[in-house]
Amino acid sequence: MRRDDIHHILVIGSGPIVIGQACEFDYSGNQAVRALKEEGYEVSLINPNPATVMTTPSIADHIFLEPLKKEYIERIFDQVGPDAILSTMGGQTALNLTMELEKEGILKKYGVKVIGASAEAIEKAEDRGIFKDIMTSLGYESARSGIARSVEEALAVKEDIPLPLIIRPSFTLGGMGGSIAEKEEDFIPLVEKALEVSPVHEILIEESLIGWREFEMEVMRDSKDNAIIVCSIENIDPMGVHTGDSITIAPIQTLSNDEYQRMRTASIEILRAVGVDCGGSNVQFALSPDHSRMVVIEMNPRVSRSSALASKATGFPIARISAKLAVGYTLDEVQNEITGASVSCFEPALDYVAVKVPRFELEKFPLEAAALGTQMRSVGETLALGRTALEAINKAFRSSEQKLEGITALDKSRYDSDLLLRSAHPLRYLAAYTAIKDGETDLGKLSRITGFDIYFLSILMEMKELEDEIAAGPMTDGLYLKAKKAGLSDKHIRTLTDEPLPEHIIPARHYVDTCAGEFEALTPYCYTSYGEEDEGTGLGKDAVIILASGPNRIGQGLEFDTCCTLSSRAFRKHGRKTIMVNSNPETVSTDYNTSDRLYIEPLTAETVLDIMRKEGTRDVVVQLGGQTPLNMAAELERNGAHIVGTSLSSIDRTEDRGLFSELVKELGLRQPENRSASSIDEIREKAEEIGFPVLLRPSFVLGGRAMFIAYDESGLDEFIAKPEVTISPESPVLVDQFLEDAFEYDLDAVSDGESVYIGGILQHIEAAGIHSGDSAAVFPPYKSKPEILAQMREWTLRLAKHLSVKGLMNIQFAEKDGKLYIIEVNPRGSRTVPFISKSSGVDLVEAAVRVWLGEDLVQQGLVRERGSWAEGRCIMGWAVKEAVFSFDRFQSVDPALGPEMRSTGEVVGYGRTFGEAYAKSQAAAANRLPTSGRVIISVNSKDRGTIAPIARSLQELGFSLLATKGTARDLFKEGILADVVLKTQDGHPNIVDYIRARKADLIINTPMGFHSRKSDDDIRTEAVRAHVPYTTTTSAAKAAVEAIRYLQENRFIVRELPQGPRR
Amino acid sequence: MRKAILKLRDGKEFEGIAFGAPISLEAGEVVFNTGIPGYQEILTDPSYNGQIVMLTSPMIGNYGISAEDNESSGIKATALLIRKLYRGPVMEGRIPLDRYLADAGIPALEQLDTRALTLHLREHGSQNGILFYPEDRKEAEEKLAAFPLITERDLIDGVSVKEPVENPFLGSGFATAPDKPIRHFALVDYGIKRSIIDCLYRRGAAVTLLPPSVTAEEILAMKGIDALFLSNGPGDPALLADAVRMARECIGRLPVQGICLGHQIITMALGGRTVKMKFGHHGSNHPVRDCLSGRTFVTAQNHGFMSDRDSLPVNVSIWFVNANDGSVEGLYEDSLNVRSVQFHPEAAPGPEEAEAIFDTFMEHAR
Repeated sequence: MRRDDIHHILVIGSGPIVIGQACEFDYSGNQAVRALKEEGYEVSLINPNPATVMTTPSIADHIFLEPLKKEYIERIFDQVGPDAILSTMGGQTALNLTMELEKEGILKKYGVKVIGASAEAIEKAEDRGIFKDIMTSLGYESARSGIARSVEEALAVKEDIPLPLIIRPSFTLGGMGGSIAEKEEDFIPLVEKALEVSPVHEILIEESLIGWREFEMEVMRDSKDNAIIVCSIENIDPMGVHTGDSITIAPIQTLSNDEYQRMRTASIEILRAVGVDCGGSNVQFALSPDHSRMVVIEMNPRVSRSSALASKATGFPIARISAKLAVGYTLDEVQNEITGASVSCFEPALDYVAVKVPRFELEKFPLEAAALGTQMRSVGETLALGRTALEAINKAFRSSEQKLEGITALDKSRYDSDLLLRSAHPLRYLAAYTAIKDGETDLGKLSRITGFDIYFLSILMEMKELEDEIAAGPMTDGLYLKAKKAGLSDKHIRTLTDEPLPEHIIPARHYVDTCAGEFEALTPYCYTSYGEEDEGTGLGKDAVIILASGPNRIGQGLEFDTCCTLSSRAFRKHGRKTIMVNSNPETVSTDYNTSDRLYIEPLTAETVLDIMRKEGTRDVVVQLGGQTPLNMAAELERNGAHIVGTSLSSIDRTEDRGLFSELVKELGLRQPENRSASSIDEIREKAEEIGFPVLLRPSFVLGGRAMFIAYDESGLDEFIAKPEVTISPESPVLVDQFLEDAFEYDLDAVSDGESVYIGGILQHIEAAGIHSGDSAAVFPPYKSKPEILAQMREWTLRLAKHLSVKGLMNIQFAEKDGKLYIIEVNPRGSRTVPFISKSSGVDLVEAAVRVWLGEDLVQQGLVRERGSWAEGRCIMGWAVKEAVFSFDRFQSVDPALGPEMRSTGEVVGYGRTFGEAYAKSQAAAANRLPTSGRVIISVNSKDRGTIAPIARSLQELGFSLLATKGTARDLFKEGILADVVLKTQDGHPNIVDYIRARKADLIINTPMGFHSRKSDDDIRTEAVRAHVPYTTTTSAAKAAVEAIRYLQENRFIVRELPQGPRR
Repeated sequence: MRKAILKLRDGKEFEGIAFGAPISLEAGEVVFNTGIPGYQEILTDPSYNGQIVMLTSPMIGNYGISAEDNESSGIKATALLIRKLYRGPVMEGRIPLDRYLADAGIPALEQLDTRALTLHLREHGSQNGILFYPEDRKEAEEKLAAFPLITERDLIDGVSVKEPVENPFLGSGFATAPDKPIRHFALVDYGIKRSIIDCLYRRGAAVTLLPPSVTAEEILAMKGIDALFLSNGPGDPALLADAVRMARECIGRLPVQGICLGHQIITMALGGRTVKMKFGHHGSNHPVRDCLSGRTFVTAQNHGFMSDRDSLPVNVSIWFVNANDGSVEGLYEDSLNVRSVQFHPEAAPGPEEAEAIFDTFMEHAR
């Protein structure tokens, strides 16, 4: 029954996307908010992540994009007065915050009840010692282990349990700080590190179960003790690889009924004992390879990445139902929306399998062999549904957009396949395939080496036999169908045979209906499979296909998914049906009621064309899903698709550097000097022509992949030596003039081909050369000349008209010495669209959709006069967007920023003043700006001029200064006294020693060029490790000063995002 | 790889690849089960006697067959239909499904569009079907046309004991009869699953397994019996007039309890009716609400007939209802000490949480 003792619920979001906590929490939070509003509760939401769907106006009653800190939550309690807090929708961040509010008595003070999981249940589940005791009392085995709060205690634990040992810090997300100690000498350093990252300085040391089978149960339980398993998940990768990094399959495939039920019963008993009685949890198990020992690993008393996956794999909306349970309903009282004919107190039956393949950024964050462990490293994931495991695995690898056309053998010139076979590595499963392709037939042996169950190796054997059969020929209709049923793309088949393929087969549409066909489904979603009967009929030409962005990766993630979701909403609002295609299970776009029809399918031209033909429509939106849809747009158009909005030829004119240069010339605009080089010699030649420094990049890339700034000849060599750089006339390298110390701008606009509505202009706080996605930026621009801004608007209008842009466009500008340059034009939705839309109060995506539906900007009331421009303003005062990184996951990666994007997420800070906005953005990004203490300054000679006023301000604010010799000397000339600190290479105590000893509170360290690069690297790496805020530009340092000024006032202000469109 | 065909009574055909034993025109009612693990328990469940079982879970055979998981002496289903057979190696000590079926003489089809077949049965109801190789079409079609309906077949005879058996041995992996029983059940075997006896043994009960032809006089003459228990079994309960009479004569004189078919016999013995369902409940995920406690269990189910709620006399109370379709899932009549459930509290395969119902049975068996 609905709880009537609460009326207003605060939902806590998870904040920025970081590795281990991604858009699955936007999906779950969004479902939860909707579910609560349906029940008539007033709902408030806090989440500083502007890219999310959940923070879109009108979704919750009160939206706060404020830091996830207790001080700000307290202000929200004051300001809008919620009487309950839902703790389970925002990942580990929200759980930890709830615990903090509880422990500090803040909840009690404001009379706020915790719903979802009680503080007591959270404690029992999260505290490894208590949890282990509960397991023992239930008669379940847990890994042999001990708790330690110091190195001495850790050594005592090691006495009893032999190496290798797993070391896990308590209360961290995604297993952060966890590690495996294999050798004696590794033990103490790993223990120290883990103690440090645990917010409670506590670690668990446990026996290694590496190589065991790993399973997960997604469980829900209500206040009447009804409990269900929504989904069982089997990790194909064995224990030792974080489940977020594992290839997984649902449902469990290799357990007999007895074994499965034992796990099922255990899961429910565990929830009961922990006290989860109004929500979902995930329980993880390990099973010894001979199935004789079942060990409980852990549980998460909240929605999680796994629960999002389970929801998409089964059609059971865990977050939505969790929210209903949190407000008093029981499972038997909640309808199953998919069938409309059953209640939610049932267990989904699957007549397909769901395979998840994680997506890594091996190029940006290189992983050594055996790099995977207890800490999650993947940045995204992809889901594929198929009728068989082989089909689904092939589809999932293809969906992951890692240049894998399904299961493929590794290129041995690039990978040491034998080493990977023995290593916890993302490519281990493919290494096993490589071994099988090479003739290995002893699957038992292979299973012992790799830890893969024989069942999953048999699937690879089946794949090999199929590939052999195709290669041997002849290609017949029957063999073609067999290959398609096994999940092979036409492209993959063509790599195996030169024979012409039989007539292309269009796959059947199948429904995900939660019940294996037992009931007719009301709102099912779809996947395709071959050689079977179709379900349902096409939506026809009234429907428009929206191509989403696939698995999250650096540079393409949540922002694009939000654009896709908002566009579906807008199309439907204006009477058109939508068909969403996506493979990313974490997203809102793959929620079953975001679109009229959803396909969980790989984003490839073959699939999209099949869907187009099946559904009987030609309209395809490629502008909103980042580079993925754009990359296939030409092939779609060639095969009859109608690309909605801006034409492909216009897109080409902006993407192709040569054509773009012509365009710039034609329109009388200015861009940095640029050349294209198709050989190594030519690169040198062109760089010489332009003059150093130069910016080098391969064509057609997103997120600045392999982009590089060369200051001299040796820089050129370094670029050329990069493995991902290919140079040929087909894929030339672009050599551009690099505008050092320029100011960069991002502009997002909508055009109808005649007029332009500029949502807003963002000015980067970091200097040019740092990727726009990694740079802190402020809306509106905070220091720029009006004539430069005017020129930007004028150029935008000129470009939009000339290119007949219909829909969204993003332009990057740079200003140096009073001159404006155009860096790039993207005639598509950009990462900043959701941010600008929220901060300006105008939904740019909806404006674009209305343009596509034939309503021009004047009719929409956004532009007054046809052929002119209009511009939005920041309705929040100042809006600072800050990038958030996951560098602490990759200890060996240099956190210095550059032209290649490496941030995983973003946050916003809103404020009346720039200082307030910047301070909040830093707080939200978990950059702990100090209000007192010691600042270390080490800047390059170019920055010596600008640093003096900053240093002076810091001194005035009460900080003591420490500077490297050169910097200190220059500061002294300006009359500022700083103590001298040694550079790392100059002996001890140096900067790094200070950081290690916790004697530095803020570091300002701008890049010194190539000569002392090593030293800079050490400083920044150490700062990341010690969580000391550091800035790499003087402009960011200046912003930090203003923010510190605000922080010193010690006031916490929260600002509610205005509701409803401002148009 | 030999092609074979499943043809349904209404003319619809599905093609697949034969495995297991060679096909010799096996006919029977085609039913689907939506459970995920548990193919071995399903195949060996005597309630499936005379039925061609189709599993909606697409990949079958993954973990082989283990000696300890049989619900009876061997496979009782007529044939098996699946989407895809696992042909790889299985764990030591287990037998591949293909070989197990072949040894048992049971044919099977894989590569079948099981999804389409499920939707067809959902739409048109469970019906007879036949398996044949393409060349045997004519003969198969004649046989199918003449094949009796499930409501016309005696399917119990081949799957039940002929003589009383004291405390049957269930095999390794199951409990043995208690040394000092605290209850003694007269258990009529209509095709009982071993797990039911296992659940009783584990609670300290002894059982005497009785043939389906047993009469009320014979039962009432037995010494030291605490309750009469009617087992699950195959086929249409409406055919079992003798069993219904036997139950009616025992009710009021002994506690009477039952599961599945036993529940249906009790329904009729109390004066109610049973009806054939369109495609029945066959799976491991059916929610059942306990009307006394309000709690809902996820249960294992396997029935094509059910108690007709409107036919129940006023003195009979509903113990459990199906939370999806509201159908009757259990009955009790306290003054006569009768209680029964339609679903399978012994699970096997399926969720074990309703097993506590055996405690209730024990409690009321006196």
